[in-house]
Amino acid sequence: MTTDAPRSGRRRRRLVLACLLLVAASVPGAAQPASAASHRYVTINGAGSTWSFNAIDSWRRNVGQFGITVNYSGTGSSDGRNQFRAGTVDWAASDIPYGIKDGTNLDPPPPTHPFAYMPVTAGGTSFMYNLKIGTKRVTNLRLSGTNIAKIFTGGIRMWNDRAIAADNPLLKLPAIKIIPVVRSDGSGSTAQLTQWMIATQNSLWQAYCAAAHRDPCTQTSAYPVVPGIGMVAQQGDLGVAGYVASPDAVGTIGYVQYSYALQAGFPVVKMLNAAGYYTEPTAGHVAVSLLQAHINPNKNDPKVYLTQDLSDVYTDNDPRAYPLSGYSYMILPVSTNSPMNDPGSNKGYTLVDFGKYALCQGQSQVNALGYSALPINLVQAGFDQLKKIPGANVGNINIQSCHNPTFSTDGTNTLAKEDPKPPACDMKGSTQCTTGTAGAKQDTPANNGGNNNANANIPGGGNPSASTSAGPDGGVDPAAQSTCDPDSGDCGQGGGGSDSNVAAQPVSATADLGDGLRIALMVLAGALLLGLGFGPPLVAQVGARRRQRSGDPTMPGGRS
Amino acid sequence: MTARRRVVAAVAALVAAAGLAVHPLGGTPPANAVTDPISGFGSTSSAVTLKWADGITGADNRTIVAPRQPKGTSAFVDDLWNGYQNLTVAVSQTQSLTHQGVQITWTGGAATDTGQLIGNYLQIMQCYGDASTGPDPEYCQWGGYDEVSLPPGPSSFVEQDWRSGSLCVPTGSGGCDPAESDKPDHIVPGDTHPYLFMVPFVPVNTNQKIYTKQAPLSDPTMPSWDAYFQGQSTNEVPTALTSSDGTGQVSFEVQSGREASGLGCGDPDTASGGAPRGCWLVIVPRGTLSPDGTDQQGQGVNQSALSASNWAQRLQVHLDFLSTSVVCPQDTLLRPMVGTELAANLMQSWQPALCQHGGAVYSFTSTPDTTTAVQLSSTLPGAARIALTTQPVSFADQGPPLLYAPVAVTGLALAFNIDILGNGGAIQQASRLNLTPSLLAKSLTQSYRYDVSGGATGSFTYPDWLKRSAPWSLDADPMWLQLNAGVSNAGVTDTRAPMTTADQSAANQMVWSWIQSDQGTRAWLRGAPDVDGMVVNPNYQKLNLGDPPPSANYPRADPTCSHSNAAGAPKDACITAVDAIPYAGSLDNAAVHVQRGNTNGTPGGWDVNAYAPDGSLGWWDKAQPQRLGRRFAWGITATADSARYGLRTAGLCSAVGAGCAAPTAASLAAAIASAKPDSTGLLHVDPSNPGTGGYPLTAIVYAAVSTDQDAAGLRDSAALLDYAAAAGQTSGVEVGQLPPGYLPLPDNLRTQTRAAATTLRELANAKPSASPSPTGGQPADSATSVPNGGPSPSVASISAPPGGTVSQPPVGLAARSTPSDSLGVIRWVLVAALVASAAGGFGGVLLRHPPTALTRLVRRTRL
Repeated sequence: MTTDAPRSGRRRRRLVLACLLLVAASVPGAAQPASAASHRYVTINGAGSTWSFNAIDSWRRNVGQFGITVNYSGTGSSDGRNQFRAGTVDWAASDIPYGIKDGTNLDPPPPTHPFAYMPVTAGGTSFMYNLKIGTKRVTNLRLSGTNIAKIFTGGIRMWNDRAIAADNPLLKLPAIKIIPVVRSDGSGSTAQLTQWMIATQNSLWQAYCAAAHRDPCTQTSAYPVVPGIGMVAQQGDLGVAGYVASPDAVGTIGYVQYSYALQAGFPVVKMLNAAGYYTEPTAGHVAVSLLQAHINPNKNDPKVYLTQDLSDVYTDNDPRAYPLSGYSYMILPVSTNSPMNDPGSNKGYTLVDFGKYALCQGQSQVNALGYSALPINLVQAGFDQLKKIPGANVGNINIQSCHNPTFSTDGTNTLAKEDPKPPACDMKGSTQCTTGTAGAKQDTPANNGGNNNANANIPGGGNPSASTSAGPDGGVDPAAQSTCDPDSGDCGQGGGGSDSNVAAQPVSATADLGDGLRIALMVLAGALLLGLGFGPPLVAQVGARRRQRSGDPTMPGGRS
Repeated sequence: MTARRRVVAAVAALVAAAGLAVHPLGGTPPANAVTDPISGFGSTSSAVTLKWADGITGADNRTIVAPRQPKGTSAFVDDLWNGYQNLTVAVSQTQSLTHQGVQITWTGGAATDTGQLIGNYLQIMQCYGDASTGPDPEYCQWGGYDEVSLPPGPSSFVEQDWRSGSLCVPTGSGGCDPAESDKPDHIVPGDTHPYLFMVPFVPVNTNQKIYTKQAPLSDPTMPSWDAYFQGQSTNEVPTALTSSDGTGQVSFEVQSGREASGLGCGDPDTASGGAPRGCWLVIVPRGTLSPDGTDQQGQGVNQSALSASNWAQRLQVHLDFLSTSVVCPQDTLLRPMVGTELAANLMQSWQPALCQHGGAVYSFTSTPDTTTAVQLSSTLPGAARIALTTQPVSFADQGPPLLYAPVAVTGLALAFNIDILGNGGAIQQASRLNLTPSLLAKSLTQSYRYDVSGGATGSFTYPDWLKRSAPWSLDADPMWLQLNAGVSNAGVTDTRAPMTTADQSAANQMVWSWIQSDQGTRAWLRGAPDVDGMVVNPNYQKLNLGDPPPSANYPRADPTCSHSNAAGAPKDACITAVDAIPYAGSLDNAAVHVQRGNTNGTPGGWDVNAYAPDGSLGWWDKAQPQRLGRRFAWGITATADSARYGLRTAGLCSAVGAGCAAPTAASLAAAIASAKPDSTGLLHVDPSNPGTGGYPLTAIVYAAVSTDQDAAGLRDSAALLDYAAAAGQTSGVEVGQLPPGYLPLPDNLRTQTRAAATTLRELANAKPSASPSPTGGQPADSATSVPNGGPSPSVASISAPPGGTVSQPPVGLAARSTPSDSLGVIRWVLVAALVASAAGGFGGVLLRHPPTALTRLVRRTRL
């Protein structure tokens, strides 16, 4: 074969060049000091998390108007960390810090590229599923943490499992196999899921992990697939979501960032929290949950500073909490090592302004995508990290010009403060809400009323015949649901109590409307409707007649 | 005439009165616009055509500054004369450039042998250089791909984007460049016994010589050209294929100083008084011999395009740039917008122009259609009050009153990148493609054998439904062969399914609606065999894709999961339909994948040497770009994205293959002329009846503006519409213009948009709390946003629109008597919503918020 010779020739060439460069490194005076008089924006390149991709891609497009050019490849968190370590990208996005073992991968922090973590997207890892009762799609599935862990470790294999039925009193689920869909690539979502399992369902995880011949059984980015339990592995959030959404994939359940379920028009599992409520990861619920996230405050250790400890999020007993809430990081370069070694540190200057946009105005875009805007404490901590980047325009990094939508004047997180308490039907018990979730807002009528006849008429969606009006209606922003459940009348106080922002509770006050005024309004509205219904044709008809008389043939009405 | 018919007629009159009757395009294209505003293809007044044999041209793109070396100079030069003596290269635009695509087309080139990829292709790059004789090779953005082939060649050692090569010394390998021997700058410092040369990169405005792509870990501060460009950012074209007829075409991404800081094109050049710096496009034709005359058989081009002998063979074109400094201030509160991705490229172009002269700064987030309603009704801070949509926004519950105004005409495209493999390995790039509803239906339903997971492998087991006599892939379908004679590639051993997005959207519904326009295809989707006996994959038959309503997504319904028989491959894991035919994350992403020939998923093989994510050995073969000469990539994207990436787009034909229309200015205009209003008044092109010559997948994007916002918000929304009705409709690639892929709005639609802006301003003026400040934006920060020389962007006139004046406050607002009660506002908003929705039912597109405006319109039509 002739193929080996040139290949080895190339290898030799590569090797020799590398050696020569090492020699060249010792030759002084090669570089010319740049005039650092004024900074300018230059292209910056990043790679990593698919969990954060939808947010970062949107920011990337919007900073173009400021003259900032950003490239980002959603290649997975593991790839992002690897590329940053190798110095092939300027910055990375990762859902987890360095140092978490993936089986035999050690994932050490980059020895030659000093870095800082900056929280950049907050959101929920959600369980998107494809389940039908007959021909009707299930949109209101609820699962406890234990059941989720059992599903992803092979302990529960059938949808009609008694344990799942206990979570879903109004649903009689079919006797079909559960097909768990996991990530095939190195993924921060996997790492967050396994971290949660270790913290809350450790014995299940340890047994499964051992069966997969993993040793040690640590948190991992690479989900171990044990043969024989029908698990499917897919590439990226898009692959998992795409597979679950396949029409033939009834019975599947996979973990994805919430935004992918919104895009696909699919429901997600309402997960049981420590307060006994089943919730989905809306922007508000995630914001509430992350109030319990502990951020490593050790500024002296860049390997852990600002990394998240979510153990109290998992066990948060706020009724609104979503246990698998978390945030994802940007990994920022804090040296002028290659490839950040352009003269004048324009790359650093650009990256800092992009980072500031991401933390501030960029957060106003993320709720629409299915994330949750970062709270002020994380933004301020992120600011401190940005200031470490050589080239940073430190004077520009301030909260006054930030415009992050979660900020309120009293320092609390607006999203969390205004987040409504879940309706009573979301409480663990003998009923459940029939309303849909995530991208599938349509109701799921109860099909198991007989089993719960004693509770068939309790408020909050228990009555199948009342299902269309039960609970918050479909299509309403999950994060902007009514503060009060219209049926139970249960009005959450948003955790605040001293909340004076009435605009945040628009619907609950309708009961205070005076009857006379209401009637007057109705009459007026009806009259307007009638007037508009009959007025324009009449007017047009009159016009048409007039034109007919005057012989104007230009209008269709005139011709008729 | 019955009364009912009279009412219908009256309604029709009203519809017409509201400007809904669609006239043919009012405006004519500018005289010099031979660039099609939809495809982006075509030429401009600054196009340049060069003949290789004439020699190298100077900065005027005419004067020969260096003649070609004559035949007989060397075997190397003779080889190039043989291959390129008739080479003529045309560049579509050379002046007023910005960050944009330009078309490079050529004839008379030596056909690329894609079997071994020995040579015979063009290498294209951008360089800076102020000398009128052209750039030095050190000044070029080249070598960004980490020494890999792009697109991949037949083997991994054919690597075309080196900056290095062999010196003609005894220790050097074969295929050296004798002309590199006396260039000390091309020897890496410290190399005392060199056998390799390395052309350093010298960033603009420095004399720094950079010899490495990436600094070694042992010296991480060593200057590297990664600091200026790398694989994600570079625009170099390592291998531009010449088809067997000697032609070729590349859409080259011209970069300004913003994208390529090492070149600084368009940046103020202090040496010439701050004028934008000009740059160069360099095209190096490659033959089959190395500069020393040795055959490159089996090795590919073994010397850098930058090496002295190769560099001497170049063609160069001087490029003039516009100033690159038009930006927005960063610290003002953004006006958030959400909506269909069809508007994304448009908004990116408009954003920097909208903020000029104190205008507001807007953000735009592409969101799923269902999110649009959620955002508009959200009370959370930062929620959008403007959505861009092709459909009326329907609120499941209560939503704010909306005012619709058309802002753009655009469409979906079936973009392709296909190599036709001929006899003896000859390759022709497909330039034209036609599709019928049935061909697309078959491709989207995994009904060809090759589109089923594992279907292209020898060990494939035929399912019962799949007839052995049926065409095994799209390009073997008799209808395909009839429409696209010769467009097939037997070398492609994988799926030919198109890449699509994974979302649920109204845009996707347009595609299925077009598919359903053919009765035969509808019947086929329901299970009837076609004329050749081919049937739909029963897993898709179950989905009723032939029945209304049209599907809003592209499902992957075939459950076949193919295993690898390779040693070490896991018995449990297999390749699913989603693995085999992966989804794109967005319409933009789909176009990128098509451009790179990277639409296929996991090929299904097992690589014993690959590392699994957990670090263990053995993993599936990676999904990779298709090899040059073996590309069969196509996908469903936006016309704006296909234009952005320079992709060809397919014509859509009737069921029998007649009346094929590709997306062009003419076909979109014809479609718009056939558009009909829906019950809300929004115009739609019916994909099943797009008018004579009309393009079926034409969409009209509307701004849906919530009138439930403060005065500043209303004014900023009005400013957006003003811009959309005026300066924003000028086709072009400059900041603020209507980018390729969008058709300028017909005059009658612009009238609606202007009127909507007027209405918004009237509403704003009627707000008692209206502040005197004209917009929510603040004056531009002089440090970052003042245009720095050069032409300023075209900006919307903020002068009074022709919508007339307000004779009295709008009813809803005049009636608001209890401003101190915030709940009162909500009540009146409900009334206003009723007014608006009723008016919308009659008035059509323009949901004239105040009845006064509606009556005025009626009055106007009587004149």
